[in-house]
Amino acid sequence: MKEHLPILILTLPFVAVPFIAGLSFTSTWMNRLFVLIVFTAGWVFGWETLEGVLSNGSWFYNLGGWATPWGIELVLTPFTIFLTGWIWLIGMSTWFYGLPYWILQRKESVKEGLFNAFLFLLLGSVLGFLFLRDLLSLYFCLETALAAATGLIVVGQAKNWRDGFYLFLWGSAGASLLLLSAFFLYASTGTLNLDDLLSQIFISKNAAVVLTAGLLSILAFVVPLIFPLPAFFFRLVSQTPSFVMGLLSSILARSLVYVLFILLFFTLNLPGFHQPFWVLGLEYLLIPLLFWNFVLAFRQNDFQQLTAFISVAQLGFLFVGFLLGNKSALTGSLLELLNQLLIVAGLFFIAGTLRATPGVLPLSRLAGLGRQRPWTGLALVVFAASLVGIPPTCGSLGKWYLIQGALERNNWILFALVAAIVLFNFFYFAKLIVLIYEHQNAAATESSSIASKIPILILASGIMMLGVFHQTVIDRFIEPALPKAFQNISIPNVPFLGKQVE
Amino acid sequence: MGLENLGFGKEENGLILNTLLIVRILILLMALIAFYRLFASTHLAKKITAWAVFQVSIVLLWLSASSHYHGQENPIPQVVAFLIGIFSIGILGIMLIFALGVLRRQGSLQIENNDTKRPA
Repeated sequence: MKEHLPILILTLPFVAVPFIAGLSFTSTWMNRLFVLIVFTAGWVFGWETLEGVLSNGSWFYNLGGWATPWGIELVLTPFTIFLTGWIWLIGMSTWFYGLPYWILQRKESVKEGLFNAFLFLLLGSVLGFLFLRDLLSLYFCLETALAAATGLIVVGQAKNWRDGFYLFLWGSAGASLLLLSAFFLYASTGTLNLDDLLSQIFISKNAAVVLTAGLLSILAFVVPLIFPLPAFFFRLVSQTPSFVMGLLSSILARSLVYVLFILLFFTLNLPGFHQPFWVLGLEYLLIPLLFWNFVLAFRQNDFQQLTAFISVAQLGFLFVGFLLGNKSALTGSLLELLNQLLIVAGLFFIAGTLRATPGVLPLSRLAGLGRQRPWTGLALVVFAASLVGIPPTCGSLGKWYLIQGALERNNWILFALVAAIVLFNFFYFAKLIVLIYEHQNAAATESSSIASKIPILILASGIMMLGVFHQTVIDRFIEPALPKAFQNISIPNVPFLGKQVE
Repeated sequence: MGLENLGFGKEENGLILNTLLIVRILILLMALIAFYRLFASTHLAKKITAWAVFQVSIVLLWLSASSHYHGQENPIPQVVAFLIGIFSIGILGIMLIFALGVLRRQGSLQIENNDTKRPA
């Protein structure tokens, strides 16, 4: 059975969906028990797979024994398994965090069951993004993820039907562009397998198709990437329960950024291809556009809206690394990716503890939080410190590598942008510390439940652990995920013309 | 028939568009109009229809091609078109369910002005 672990991990959440949905109509406690069993099984499978990929390297699995490029291939690298672990943890934290919401406030067992079913559907689709190396399968996973996200929003808060509809409609319209991208790539190469595409593109050297496919793929992911930007999803951010927002903002956008990383650096990476000036200009425009959301974030009076802006703004750091494209910058991007997964979920989870029901959450509710609820306050400081880049948090290392990448490239524009944003965020970090520790009269008087405290503290500890053990993370997980040119692979000393080569 | 090779040559790997040029232009026009209507419509049912037409044009695009691999014709474009078609019916169903949810709560499928934006 061990040889089929890759497909077992991927199908586990999908298989669980109908059972959980069915149990929601019978017994709430059976439903919860089954959810716990599935999460535990996921951890067991994940651990076994991690051991396998760490000892034997990346795991290539052909679905149904059909070899590529005809069959569908699953590729499990140390980084994807590591990322899966964090995504699974956020999924489990969301479920645990949401329990009091369903038990105390809603008392709607069917909705709770359906929520759990959509949660696993989303987790399964996200795992599909990470493992599947086939363009058509990626499209199916994208659509399934959008449907699951919409389901979570609607089940979480019944007022959100219209906003959920928009997310699904525009997300599906974007996903259709991925099909167009697949068509152009297939037309030029005759394959849909991502690894095979790279070799076929290398043979055909069709730069026009590479450019078209790249642009269409980025456009295909725009809607999930900008979720939950309040400029488009204002009402949804206010009305949706914080744990739903935390889950979606954290794992949906970040997993798609990883797909973009694979597409841009492994599939469409045509040697010698130079981007046209206008494409480069657009890419340079994208970074300040994303970073501008930090400015908008700190102009908000509502903590949940602020977090939503920050969630999108942070994507700027990831794209800075992609734009620089050297080893340090890509290492920084992948570290930031892990960091952002935890920060975004953690900030939304904290927002959820400050308001009993969905609605407005004025920043004044944070006043004196550190004195009234020391653990929640401390976790907020950790998330904010990592967002700003204060050592030893994971965010500090991610930004350090990005800055190093910019310096290695002598790219002073991106260096100045990252440095300016770090300084700008530091100013607001200082203001936040004053707000949560200086005020004697706490605004948030009621204490939060243990179900919400535990996930927040686990995520905050995760950020600290990733920061402290960053060298291990880089050596064992991130470096093998980089393009081969950036990996420390020893080159065999082959005699050349009878002479040893040093 | 207006065969046009987009790949390496008919004997090698690649895709051959085996429909008349006018048919391909019509598909392109259909896709462009549908994409425009997706943005321009102020009614959710019309938006769904626009998405469905856009999706159909992509299915037709795949159907209009045949694939060659080492000189052998293979049915992959038709299989892809079939899979997308079946999957799209499912997506359309989900969209209709969400639209019905909107209709039940709002009483209309008409879009209000700035209804997803910040209230004035």
